[in-house]
Amino acid sequence: MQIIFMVPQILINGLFLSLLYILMALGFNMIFGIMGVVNFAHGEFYMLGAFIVYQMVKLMNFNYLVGLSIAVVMVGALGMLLEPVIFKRVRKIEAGDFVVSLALAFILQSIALMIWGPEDLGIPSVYTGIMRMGSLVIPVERLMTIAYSTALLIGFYLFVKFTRTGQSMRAVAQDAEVASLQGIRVEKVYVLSFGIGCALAGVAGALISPIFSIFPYMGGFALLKAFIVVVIGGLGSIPGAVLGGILLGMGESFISTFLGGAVSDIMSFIGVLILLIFKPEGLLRAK
Amino acid sequence: MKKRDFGRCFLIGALLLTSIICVGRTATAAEVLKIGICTAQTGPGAAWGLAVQHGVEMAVEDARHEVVVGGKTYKIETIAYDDKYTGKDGVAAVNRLISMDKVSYIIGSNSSAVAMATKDIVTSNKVLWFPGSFARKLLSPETKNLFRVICTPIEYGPYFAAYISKYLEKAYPGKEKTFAFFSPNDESGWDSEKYLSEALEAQGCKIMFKERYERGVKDFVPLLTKVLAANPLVVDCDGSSPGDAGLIIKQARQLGFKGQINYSGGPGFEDILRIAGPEYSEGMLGYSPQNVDAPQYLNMEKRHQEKYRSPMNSLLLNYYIAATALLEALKAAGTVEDIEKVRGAVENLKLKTQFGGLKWVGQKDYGINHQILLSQYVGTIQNGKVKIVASTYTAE
Repeated sequence: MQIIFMVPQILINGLFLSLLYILMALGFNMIFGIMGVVNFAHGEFYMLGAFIVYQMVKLMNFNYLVGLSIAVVMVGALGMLLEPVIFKRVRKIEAGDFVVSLALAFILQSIALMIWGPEDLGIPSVYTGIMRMGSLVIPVERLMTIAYSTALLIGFYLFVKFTRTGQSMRAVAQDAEVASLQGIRVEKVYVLSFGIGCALAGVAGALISPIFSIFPYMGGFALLKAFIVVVIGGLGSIPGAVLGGILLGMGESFISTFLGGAVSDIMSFIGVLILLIFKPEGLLRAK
Repeated sequence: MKKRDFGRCFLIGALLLTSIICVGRTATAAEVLKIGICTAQTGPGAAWGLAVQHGVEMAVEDARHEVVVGGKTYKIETIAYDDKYTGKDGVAAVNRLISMDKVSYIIGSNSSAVAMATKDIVTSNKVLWFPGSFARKLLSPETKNLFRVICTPIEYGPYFAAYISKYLEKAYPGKEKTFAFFSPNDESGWDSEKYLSEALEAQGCKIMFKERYERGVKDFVPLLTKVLAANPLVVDCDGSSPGDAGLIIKQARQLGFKGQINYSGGPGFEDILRIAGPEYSEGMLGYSPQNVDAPQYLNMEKRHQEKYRSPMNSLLLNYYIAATALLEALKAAGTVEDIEKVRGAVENLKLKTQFGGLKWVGQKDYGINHQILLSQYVGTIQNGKVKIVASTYTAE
């Protein structure tokens, strides 16, 4: 009987995880889908988003939302700077983006280590209190993170679907050459896409910064989750990233609760292996 | 100058220069005592790992970076490598210390994964080793060159459990003393969970849950959801790292848990305060290997803050004492090369530092008296400050 009462709680826990995974995977998938770049430094942009909020809020006493906004803009701007300066130059080299992004990951980790040190850091809770609905207990902080993530995802969808820039991005993702012939400035789209992709990772890091601890190597774990989501959903597929995020987040929440954290990790990887064997392109192949 | 003459001059000059460098190096090497440090400088275990390194460095600093052994003055050089709290990196670090740096004395790691992975390498190389891992299997008559320098749950568990049991009876009268343990899924976590839960059960406590998680997990809400639904009286962060313990505490309180929270697996009050914040960590009880209220401790803390610009983890003093003990043993043995003699000197050492006495125990539990026993305390967090509430054992 107790298990039935736990289900709504598990669903809310899963929703929180799912939205974070979707934000991470969306950025990763967007960069791959439009540019064909596998960005192994994606987790480090997530890490930077968290550290920038830490710096702004904990050390410089900024308001959290101001700190979050600054973090997103800074991480996005860094992405837009790195694309033409580094990634563009290795685009035609085989495995160039792979090597460059790995190197970038190490560099960003080392910079974070030098600036903020190796120890786990935290920022005080931004929203305190608990919302109770029967047996359901939702910390307000997590509820706000769910709300912000949902708003961001809706905004992202509207941007990609209904704006001219979003349409240009979709056109380049389908066929860069033809898009170029249609007058779309492909290089500009690449820069913007990379920036937005990194900003999505940055915002995920910024959103979790008051909830989890912050340390220079946190990006590796996040990147691994993004990879799993992308494998489940399909590399390059935005709807696939959403589906994959939901499946992974909900799956982890249920399995962790009933079988423990260690089993949850094992099951995630078993699931990925099975999917790769029977449906290697993922559940929703990119069009 | 002819080409041939120039060539001869060049050769003679190069030979002279090489000789000077070699003689200089030999002279320098004979005057250096190398102490290796294998510890987590980065990653989730860094809070404890840096305590290892800083403890040794501060002891060496207090010895003015030199020691007189057998009438000869040795400059002390500490060489630290990052084991990242994992067996794989620990093996690399220890191999480097022994093979490349040729150290005969290693202090750390405090990771059981590292200690168990490197045990055979260290013991087969005639190195005197001072790790701080909880792993029970580490210490035995076969590892005679090993001295464990932190108290494990086997040593402090019974005293800590006795205090906690009495405290719960007073603070929560009439309530069943039920516990939920959260432990990392590795050697440290398993050992800590086993011995602490045994000690608590011996005091009439009931362990309802033993939840294990992989190091690196930051979201404990799924595990807490199941556990808190059963309404335990105590959530114990057991052998979790201080950073993870801070998250467990924060997330448990955010889910509305109002019971007692303990951290029985090791020191880390400052780190918990940093992650969980004063509001959520209020009233937390934890094992402390040091009296953090004592003036000498506070002086050390201030010195650490000035030198390293970060709060001190109280575990540091175990390694400060270990390094001090090693230097005193070297003096007593009168040699830095004869490991057997130095080992004997460590075993017979009568040391009393400003932080208390030191005793070697362990014959009953491990078959060899190479387990350190230091004074033990219970601490709490009140109004954002760490306070010692009890002394559970005093080492003379």
